[in-house]
Amino acid sequence: MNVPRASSATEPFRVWLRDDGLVQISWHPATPIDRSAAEAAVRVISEAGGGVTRGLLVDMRSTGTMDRAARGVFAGSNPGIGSVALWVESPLSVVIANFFLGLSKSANATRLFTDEDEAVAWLHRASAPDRA
Amino acid sequence: MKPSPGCTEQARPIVPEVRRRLFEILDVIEGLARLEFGAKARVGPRGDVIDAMAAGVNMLGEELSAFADEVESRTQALTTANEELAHRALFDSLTGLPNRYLVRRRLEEALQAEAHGRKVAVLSIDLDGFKDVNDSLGHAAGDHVLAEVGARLLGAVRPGDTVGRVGGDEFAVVMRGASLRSTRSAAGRIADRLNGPTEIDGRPLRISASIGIAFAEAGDDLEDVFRHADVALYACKAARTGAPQVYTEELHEPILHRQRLTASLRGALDRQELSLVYQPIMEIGSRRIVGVEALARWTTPEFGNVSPAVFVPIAEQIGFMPQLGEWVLQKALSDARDWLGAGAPRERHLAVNLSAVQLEDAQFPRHLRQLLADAHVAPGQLVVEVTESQLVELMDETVEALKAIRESGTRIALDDFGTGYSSLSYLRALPVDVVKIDRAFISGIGSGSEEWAFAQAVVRLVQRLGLRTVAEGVEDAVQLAHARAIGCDMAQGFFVGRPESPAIGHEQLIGATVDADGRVYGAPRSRTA
Repeated sequence: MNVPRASSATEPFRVWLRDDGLVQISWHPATPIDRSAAEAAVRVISEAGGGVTRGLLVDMRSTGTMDRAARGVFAGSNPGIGSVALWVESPLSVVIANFFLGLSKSANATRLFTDEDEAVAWLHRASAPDRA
Repeated sequence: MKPSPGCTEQARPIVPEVRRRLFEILDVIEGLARLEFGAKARVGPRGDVIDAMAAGVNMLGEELSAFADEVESRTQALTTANEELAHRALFDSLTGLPNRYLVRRRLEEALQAEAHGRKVAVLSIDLDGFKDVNDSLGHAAGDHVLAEVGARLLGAVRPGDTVGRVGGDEFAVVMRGASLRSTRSAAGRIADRLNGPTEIDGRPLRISASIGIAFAEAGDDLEDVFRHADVALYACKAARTGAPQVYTEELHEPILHRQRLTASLRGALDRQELSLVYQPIMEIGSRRIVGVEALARWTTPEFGNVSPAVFVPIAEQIGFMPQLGEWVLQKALSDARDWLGAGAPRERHLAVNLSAVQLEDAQFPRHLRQLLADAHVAPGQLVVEVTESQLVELMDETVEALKAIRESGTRIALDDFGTGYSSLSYLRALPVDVVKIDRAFISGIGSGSEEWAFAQAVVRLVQRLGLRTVAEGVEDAVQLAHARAIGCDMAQGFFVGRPESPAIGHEQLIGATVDADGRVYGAPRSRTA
């Protein structure tokens, strides 16, 4: 059962450690993501991983805007975060995700998916060494 | 992928709300096209296609803004670097003064700007004894002096004059609208400023400079102008008066003469224009001639007798010393072989001057032993003379060679002692057997004076070290008496005997004595006093 384990009610996102060992983050709908929100998310993701580098599934389907500083935070080398799957659906999240992929030169292996199962399968393949 | 909320498969009329949002985005795009990055398109809560376009445009604007900032920052850095490079290309980094290139350009501009026959003066300024500052106090002190000179020069010229550093310790001043009188006055002012005392690490230091002046007018060749200023500078240095020298045609003659001598010296050996003469060295106590010193002479059909004081520095300058030194050594040993074959006593010695370049050759000691063997001259019959300055300046390179020479039995004489470092501590460290005390040391003393007591103390200390002393430049009976009184072992100079041909050198070696009036007994003699 997927249970949120490391997020608080005041944060604009939910983060949890999934039963399959991946960490998932889901942003509250239409939340503008700035640097402080991004830094908080990275911190909580790392905590949720329990000190282990894990694959990260980012549910961007209802993501709001994301400024350049926030994109810089996600693109950096963040502890506890291995490969990243961006799960998108809305035109807005597609645009943001492509910006993220194209301009930010992420430190982690990052791919875009419109299907959760494909995203999870890829993360498991890509993150296998991370969980070893 | 599901259809986006803002899209439908069939075209529908654009509702006013959609039209308004699209035009809002278009406004932002137009702003970006004008490189105005402040405006943002509004992104609504729906996350539909139009919101995606708005967000995309906003993010593109952010990236363009960051890119523009980066370009601006790098452009500024490049501009600064270019300015720095341009400054370095034109200005001396130590003094901040224009360099040779810029001084030349300023002269060119000055000549173009001057009209109605008004002249431009170029002052070529060279510091006296700057090498000694660098050598004795270090390059940091030298740099301090150069910076100080630059500042003083700037303080001595008029606004609009150009002061530049055109070489190591060479400076130049370009002055427009210059008359002979105003330029002489400015040069005097510069000399006064430069001659003032300065301090380095609390130690007083006096700077002085030589100044050459050349005048130029429109149409003159720039290189000629600078060369004329340098010619005047050399004349100023040669005059040793410190008075700035103005260029005239006549100043060229000594330089041309030296150039002709230089060209001629290279072929002097082939033309057999070099010869050796021998000056006797007398033991003061017994008044017997105990040795001779070989001295090189150069006589040419074109220039007559050229003084060693002239041609030896030229030989050093053009790298001719190895050939000259080798010839002197071989010729002197050849003469010595003849003398010994003709019965010259084996306890007499032959002294030959060595140059620093000979001693720098690691193979030289072995070569010398071979030359001695070939000439059937015992190593103990040879004394090699080296100057104090050569020994001290090339201490590391030469001392090992001298030690090797000495170990084979040849003695080492330190020439011209008292003219350079005059440090007794060197004598302890150097492989020296004989100290030749410079003529200035002997001729300058009066009986009973402080100089006398000092000279006597130096001779005694040298002898305490187990070394023998030769008083050089003894020209009359009084000087011989002084040399005897302060304790010198031997004497050399015109009073003892002038440099003579090999034949007479041989006769002197056979066993001549010198009386109190300088008359030689026991051997024929043909002095040309």
